[in-house]
Amino acid sequence: MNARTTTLFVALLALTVEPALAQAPSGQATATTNTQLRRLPDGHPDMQGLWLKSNGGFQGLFVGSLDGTNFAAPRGGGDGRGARGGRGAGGGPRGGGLGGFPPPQYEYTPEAALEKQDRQRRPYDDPEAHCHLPGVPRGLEQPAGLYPVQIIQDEKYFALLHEYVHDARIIPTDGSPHPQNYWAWNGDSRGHWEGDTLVVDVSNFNGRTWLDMDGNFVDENEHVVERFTLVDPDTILYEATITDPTVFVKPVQERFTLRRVPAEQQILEYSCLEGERSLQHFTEEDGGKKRRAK
Amino acid sequence: MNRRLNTLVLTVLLAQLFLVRGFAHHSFAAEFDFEKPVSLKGTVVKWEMMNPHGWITMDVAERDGRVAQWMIETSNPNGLMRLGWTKHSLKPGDEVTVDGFRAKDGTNTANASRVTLADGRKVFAGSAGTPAPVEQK
Repeated sequence: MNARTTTLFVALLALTVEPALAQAPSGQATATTNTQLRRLPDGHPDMQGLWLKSNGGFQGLFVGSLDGTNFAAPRGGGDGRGARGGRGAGGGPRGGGLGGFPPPQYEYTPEAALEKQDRQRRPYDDPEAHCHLPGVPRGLEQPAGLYPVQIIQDEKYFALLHEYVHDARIIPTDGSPHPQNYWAWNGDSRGHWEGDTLVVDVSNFNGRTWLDMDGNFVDENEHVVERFTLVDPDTILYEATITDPTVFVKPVQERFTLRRVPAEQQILEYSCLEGERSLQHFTEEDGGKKRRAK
Repeated sequence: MNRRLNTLVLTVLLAQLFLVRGFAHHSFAAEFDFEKPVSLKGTVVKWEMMNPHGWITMDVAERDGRVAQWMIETSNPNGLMRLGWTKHSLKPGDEVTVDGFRAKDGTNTANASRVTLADGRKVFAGSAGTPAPVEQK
């Protein structure tokens, strides 16, 4: 077995390996003081940098080779695992157990279950396909290898700058409350620190977002609590609890990791409307003509 | 390890890579038909490297001699750019072969899973949860 083959084999083998974090306790339990982490002057973990969702394996950004076999992963920080998840990647239909993290379980009210089925038949109504903002937590659920998010923080703000559709979430961590009479695709986010975990409360949603391309959805009663925990210099454990009493009969749990992308990469422009020509070709799932487009 | 196994390993690995190249903007199945793989050999008319997808306009000679114009959707330009694509990667007049899947609406529209350049290089161009290209017999 030559070196090239060995490398391929290792990468292939890694496709079947579940990350240790999948079995790790939640950020709530791991939010203890970690002296190894870089910190800001205010003492909180420094999560600044470029990050990318890891679908249970991490390849980094796809860079540098037209045959698609090179990746930019943090030096020594990549877990060497290949990507998994197939069509489940990137907010698409959820595949089973992406990277060992259990897929979210949606338990709908009877009425909402019918609505979800209807949306599955009209994927052209997914707001993302119309270049709208993806909402929370979908904004972080971009495909393996594409669309990093940049985190910038200081003692008053924690900002998520997404490459995908230039989505930006500037999260105050100063104890200020949610605004009144405000509704938005991404809602309104307010953060506070619990030990080394940043906890973000998100409300004030406009109720129009889909959670993925498979018709899972929320309405204006969506409420999300996110937890960002820097578990090592190159890994953030992300957890989200989604509640929506008029859609779900129990909270939806999401959990995955963000992995650091090398500093030489940068956020690129994503002007979504520039070349949008896909919608005109959308059909029903069965190939029939679309009924309507919002 | 024999060559056959090497090939198998490489094929499976690349298939995984192709499969995970989702792109988040829209569902592949909303626009393209997994059951209709297509291989188009033709001449590049225009290459537009723009968001949310790049588009290749190409002329394809049909069996009766007429020339049909096709619109080929590629992956997002940011991903392609990081792979090494540029706005000069394709130019008018280039003879290329596109392997992908037809649009469900029956128009001369397809996605590009792979583009074979005039010099024979096969380059990835996948989009929208792109499945691996189907090898044409």
